[in-house]
Amino acid sequence: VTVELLTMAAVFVGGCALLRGFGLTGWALPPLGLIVGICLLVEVGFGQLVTGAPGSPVITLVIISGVPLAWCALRLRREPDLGRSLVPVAAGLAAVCAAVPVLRTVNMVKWHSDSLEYLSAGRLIAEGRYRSLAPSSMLSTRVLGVPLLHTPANLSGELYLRSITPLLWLATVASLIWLLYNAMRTGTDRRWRTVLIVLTVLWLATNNRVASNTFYLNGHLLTAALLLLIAGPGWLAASSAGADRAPRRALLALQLLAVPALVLARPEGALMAALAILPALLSDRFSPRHRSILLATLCICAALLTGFEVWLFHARGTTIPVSITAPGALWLLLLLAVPLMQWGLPGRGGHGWGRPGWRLPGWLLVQRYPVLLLAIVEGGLWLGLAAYTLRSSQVLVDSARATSDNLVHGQGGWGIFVVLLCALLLAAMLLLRLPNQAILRFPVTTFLPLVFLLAYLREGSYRVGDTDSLNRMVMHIVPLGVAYLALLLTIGRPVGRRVPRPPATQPPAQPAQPAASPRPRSLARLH
Amino acid sequence: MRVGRVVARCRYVIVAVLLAGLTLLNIGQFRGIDRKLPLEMRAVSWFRNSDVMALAYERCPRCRSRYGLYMALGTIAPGARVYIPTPNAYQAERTVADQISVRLYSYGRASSVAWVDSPLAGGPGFDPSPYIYAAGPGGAHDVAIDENNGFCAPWAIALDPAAGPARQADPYHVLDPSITAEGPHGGPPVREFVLIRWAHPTLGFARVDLLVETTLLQPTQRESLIS
Repeated sequence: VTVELLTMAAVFVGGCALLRGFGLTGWALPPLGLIVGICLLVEVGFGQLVTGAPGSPVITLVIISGVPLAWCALRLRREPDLGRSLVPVAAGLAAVCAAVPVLRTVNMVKWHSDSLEYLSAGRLIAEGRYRSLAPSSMLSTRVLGVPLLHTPANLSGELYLRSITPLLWLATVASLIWLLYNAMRTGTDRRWRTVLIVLTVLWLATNNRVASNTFYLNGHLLTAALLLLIAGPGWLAASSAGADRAPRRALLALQLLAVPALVLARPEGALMAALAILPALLSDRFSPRHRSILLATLCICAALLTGFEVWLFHARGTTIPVSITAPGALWLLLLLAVPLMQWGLPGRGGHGWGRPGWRLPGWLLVQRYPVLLLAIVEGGLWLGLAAYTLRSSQVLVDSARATSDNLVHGQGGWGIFVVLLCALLLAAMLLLRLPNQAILRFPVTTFLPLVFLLAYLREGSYRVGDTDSLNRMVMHIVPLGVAYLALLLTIGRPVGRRVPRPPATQPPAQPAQPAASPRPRSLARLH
Repeated sequence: MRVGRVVARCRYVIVAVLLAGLTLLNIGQFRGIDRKLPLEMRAVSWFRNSDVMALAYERCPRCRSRYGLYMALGTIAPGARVYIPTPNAYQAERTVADQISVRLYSYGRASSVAWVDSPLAGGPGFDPSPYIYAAGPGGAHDVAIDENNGFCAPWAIALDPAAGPARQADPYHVLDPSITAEGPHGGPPVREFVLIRWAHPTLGFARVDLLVETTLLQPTQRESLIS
């Protein structure tokens, strides 16, 4: 119990301190701080593993709690206001410390054969044997997110932290409430807002598969939480909603911290992260600096993971598959594109590279065509799927049949939840609009072509049953899908009615601008 | 237009009723879904403890076959030193060899695993049957060792009676109450084992994966491991 208590306290305090340093206050700090602490646990652990630094979980915990605390302490001298929100953090810490012993005794663990492999990897990492022993297949199929999440448990000889998954589940639900609360703030009165949020959360939490993820030793809940943490704060930042309690800086920090953890959470994590941040990368609601950092964070983390995989395959004398090298090359190419993010649109906060003569021609700026580019990417996924299907349709046919059995005919344990969510989302998307809705929509609607493409890439159809990969992966987009639907239904405007655009939060346009370029089609109008 | 205005006016009521209905639907389906699922995947299910490897060993025949040998080692002699005499079938593929080392460390809690050139690779040189303390079935799909067509062989662990524990009547279930992959590494003295593919047809498989304690071996055999 002591090791787990100290671990969870370090994770919680580190995450809260970091977010507080970025200006987040109020009751949202404890749940978001816990998720951020978990991100730090995974990311710092990955750094130790990749660099070959001593991998003891003690060092990880000292870093993830000590560095943010030290940063906060240094800033406290200049900003005495930083001490605000100590009460919610102290209450959150007390709740975490009270929950740990309780959650250790309920014995409600859920597992699948994958879970056991993850725990094996976690023990190797904790004992410093991963780099020398892990088979190449262990890294490529069971990436590092879940093993790193549970590594500290090995300090007491256990294989996993009993309380971290249920606490992550609670934090995810609380984050959803926070997102909905801030998003609905301007459109609904307090009474209705409370009722609608409570009902939305109840709908989500009472689903059998969502509830089963509370104690499930796998990365699906983590992925779902991270997707919510990338899209939700991104949308709030773009829409300037709830800015008093959640300053833009904190929202953007949440996005940046979630991206590397998502890359490490699943084999397809980097692709999912890329799709989740693409609307933000193309949106003029974010500064060129943030877009550059966001893209660089994704590319560096994905390239590091790929590099580590290549090194491991090489060290084991195994042939490096194209499924590793091709995405690796893509991340490196995209990394070269990071400076392009600095070329913003004239008059919309773009820095350019100083003198007007050095500016990129306006028609070359990717931010000018957000709608088109998002459509090209989403269409590209469908076209890729069509190309694979033309070559061999069996994988898609079998996968579609199995998925239908799982999600429509009840074999997957979701009941009718997913069917209703999809139907309601489709109807709501046809009838209603949100400002900047592509940020919430894109990860949800690209999920379908992505997962069926993955069926071809992994060279195997999805299967019937609750343990099928896709059936479990559906969890990744469920919280975000529910949040998107709830927002469409409550604050969405009917199609055709003009969506009011909040005032731009970009730096003011520089006086010496070249002739004004045509305005880009706003993401607000993206269907 | 009139309908639209009414819908707009009652928007929150409609959404609230919809969400309440969906929640009730979830609740209505909840228990029925749980009943169809295995216990380890149900949303609401309790176990006697939260040691997931022990639960997997107890509830999943595939896990008993795949991980039983290693967990048995970790339960009986945590912190043991393991020798794997070569050349052997495990070396046919790097993946298989790595997998065995990984499992010996992670589930078997071995303190060291050494692959050594030794004549013991051909077999233990004696019949270890009287010393077998724990055993388990083969048959789980696993990393492919050619002679087993991709299935795990049955496994057995032979202990020196002098070091204990005392042999029980049923080696297949002797570890059921105590098996685990958790807990501290054992202290000295460090027990030593050899992992051998033992040519002993059992349950349709030509060989058994045998962990035999080195104190049961001839002194010359032991020396071959150390040299």
